[in-house]
Amino acid sequence: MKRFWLIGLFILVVVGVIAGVILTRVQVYAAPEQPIAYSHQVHVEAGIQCLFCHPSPLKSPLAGIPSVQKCMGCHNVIDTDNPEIQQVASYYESGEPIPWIRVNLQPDFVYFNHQPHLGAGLNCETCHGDVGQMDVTRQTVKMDMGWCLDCHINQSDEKVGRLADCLACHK
Amino acid sequence: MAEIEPRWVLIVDLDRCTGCQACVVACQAENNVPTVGEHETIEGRWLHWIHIERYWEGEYPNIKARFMPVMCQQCTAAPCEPVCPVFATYHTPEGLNAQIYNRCIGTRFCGSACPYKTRTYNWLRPEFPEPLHEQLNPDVTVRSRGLIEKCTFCVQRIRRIEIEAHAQGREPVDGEIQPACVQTCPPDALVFGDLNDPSSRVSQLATSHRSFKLLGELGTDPGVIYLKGGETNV
Amino acid sequence: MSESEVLAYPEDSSAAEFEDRLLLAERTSSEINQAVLQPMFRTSWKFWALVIFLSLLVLWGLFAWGYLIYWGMGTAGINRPVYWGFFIATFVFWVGISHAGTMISAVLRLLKADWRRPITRGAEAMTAFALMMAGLFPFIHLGRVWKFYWMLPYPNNRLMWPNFQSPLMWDMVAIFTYFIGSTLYLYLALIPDLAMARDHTGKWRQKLYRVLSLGWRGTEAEWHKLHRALSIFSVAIIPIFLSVHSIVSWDFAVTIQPRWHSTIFAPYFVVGAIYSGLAALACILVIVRKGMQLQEFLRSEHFDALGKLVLVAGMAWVYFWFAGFIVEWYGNEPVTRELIHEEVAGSLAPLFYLQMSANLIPIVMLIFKKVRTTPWLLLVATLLVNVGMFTERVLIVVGNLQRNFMPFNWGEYSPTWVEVSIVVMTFAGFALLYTIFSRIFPYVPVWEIKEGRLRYTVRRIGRLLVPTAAEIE
Repeated sequence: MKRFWLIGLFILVVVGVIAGVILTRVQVYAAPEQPIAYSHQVHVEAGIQCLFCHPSPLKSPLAGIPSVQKCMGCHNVIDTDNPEIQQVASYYESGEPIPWIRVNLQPDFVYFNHQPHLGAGLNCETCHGDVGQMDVTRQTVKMDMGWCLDCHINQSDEKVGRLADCLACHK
Repeated sequence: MAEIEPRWVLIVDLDRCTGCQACVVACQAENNVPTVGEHETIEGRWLHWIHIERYWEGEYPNIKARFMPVMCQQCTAAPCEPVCPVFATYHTPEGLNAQIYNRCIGTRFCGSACPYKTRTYNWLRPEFPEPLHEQLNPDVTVRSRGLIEKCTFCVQRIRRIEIEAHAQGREPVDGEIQPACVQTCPPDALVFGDLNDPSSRVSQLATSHRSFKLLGELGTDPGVIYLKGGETNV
Repeated sequence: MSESEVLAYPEDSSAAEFEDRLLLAERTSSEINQAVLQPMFRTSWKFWALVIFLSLLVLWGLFAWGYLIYWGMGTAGINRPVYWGFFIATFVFWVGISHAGTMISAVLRLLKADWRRPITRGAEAMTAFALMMAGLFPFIHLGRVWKFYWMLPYPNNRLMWPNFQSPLMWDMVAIFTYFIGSTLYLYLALIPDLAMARDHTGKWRQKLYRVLSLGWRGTEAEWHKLHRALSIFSVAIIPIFLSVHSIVSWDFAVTIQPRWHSTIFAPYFVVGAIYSGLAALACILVIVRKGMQLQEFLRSEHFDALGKLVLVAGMAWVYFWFAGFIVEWYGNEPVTRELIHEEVAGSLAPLFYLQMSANLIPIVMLIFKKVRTTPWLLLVATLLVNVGMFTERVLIVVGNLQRNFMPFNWGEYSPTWVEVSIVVMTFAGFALLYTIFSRIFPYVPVWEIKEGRLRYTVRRIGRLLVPTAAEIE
């Protein structure tokens, strides 16, 4: 009887831990609901490059979110009957930015800069996943410190000292 | 990649310092240093990363004020580093005495161990009253209560310039990197640079016969070098 | 030798002078059991009033702690440069108190000092509870206590480990080890008594004792194992006991703060810990003896011996204090000079003279046998020692942080209601745990007393009655 309880408790703990891990993952991979049902897949399949809408990762810390004007540059004439596009148009007319929900966000104590990562030859997909196949954008990896370190400590000897330094990413 | 890692050094020329406090304000603005109000300041809980100490010399009416800006001395043999139980403060390859805010658990051991007492602690929930919260620097963490902070030599500026320079395939040139206090200082009393570069301005100034280090006898080998005042009449 | 033989010594007047050694010789074994068990069941309204009062103090302290966590360390009186205040001072004090338990039970057990027998349990419980209270302070004084687990070495994907160069990590390891060691030590010696209590009680008590006594039956093999375990523990715990307070002293001594940076700090702290711990034990024994009516077990001879031990520890403390002070005074380094001046003639002078008088007067008092054997006088003397040692810890932590190398960084410190409430909480919590312990577990180690009875017998040699001691351990 006693043994039964012990085994039961053990199973409960194991199940609890596994459930906890899965729940945190679900939260990470859940795609936030955006103000406009924007599909990356549609746009990438139409042949638009990442850098057309997100122009600055090569020269600045942030990749940038396209302005409403940039959206309207095409959607003035393309698919204007779509109610979602009409919503974009209404943002454009009112002069308000679209309140996109950020998908890939680093906490306040992390300094992340796109520029050196692209400079080191990484692709967008390395971290962001195959966004071109996503109808709704979501995170594909849990961007925690362990994930960053996976690359940062596997560098050549002269680089690893700086790249594994705390101040490389913390501010 | 540089042949040798730089050793960042700040020169403080006490002959030039007028005690105007511009560096204190610049530092506060650059580094998201909270203000604590009158009551907490009296309690000794202000958070300035630089404080300017004033000495009176002589008797009235022949009296002269001497000023001495004191900030984290970025010691080579830092007494604060080995006592931290979680490596929140440690030595970087560039010889900086780093403080990782999100790692700090607030034992305040480093503060007790620091002979210069330049480490400040977030005693209460930090507040940024209107309109200060509008000008927080996104490159610097906004610290919470219960952790130690201190002068970092504006490491966010060093890092940014270095990334920019390396993207252009070169090393930062002397004088390109300027912490907020150095950039602001009206009489040019503060100079920042790489001591391992023999041609840099700080290397020249550090060899001056006026140079000394604060509490040099303790052997902490600070990265802040003072130039003794009182020899020229400014 | 059977029990009846021991008890059947002749009704002779000369036997009375050996009565102290023949502790409870006229009592039967079961009478002793009852004499220990009965006070545990006596819970008058005064007892419950005390429990409620102490619980209220603890609850208030917990509220203060919550307030401290929510609003930040600024609600305490600490500031720059006095980064550490009452919390660390009280931490050092509690770690010091914890040292007497091991001193009494391990050192005296090894030395086979027989007077230790009735007081070992009380001393060991004191160690365990004092360490619990001490162990709270590293958490209380953390600025971000919710991140305390970063001080534990556990594998994580950030590849981050604690810094074992830091004295705080040594502290944590030492205190954990000491806590586990002293709790096990307390528990081991409790097992036969728990079995005894199991056989003489009913209801929930019997259920509790049955689980805790681990099926002890008192066979030869069990006694053999217990004695072996206790002698191994007695030897093993002494280095830990010495290391714990040495490491606590290194929290201070490894910095370059003047007057902290001292080679004598480790032995000085250990001696001070023994001094204050033994004094606290004497204090507690006087109070418990009165509260639980244990006059039969805790006799003047025990207080006499304990008083002598306090006296010796006190004199050793004075020696170490003086050895540190004289060198610093003659050294006359500017900051040290300022610190000493601040102590003997400056703002800390009242605390300093309180400390010195509260530590020195008891030493003079304890020279007299009358003081050592009169409970209320002993209580006064030992309470004074604890006041003195607490003040000493405050002076070491706070006093030395107020002055440093740079005059513009000098500061003052005074505690706030938050600090006082939390410090009072630990005193109340200690008293509460101890009070409850004394009603749940046999306070007097019955088996040790019975063992002591076996050790001494009076034999008739010709016309003389001679007390004889047998080697039984």
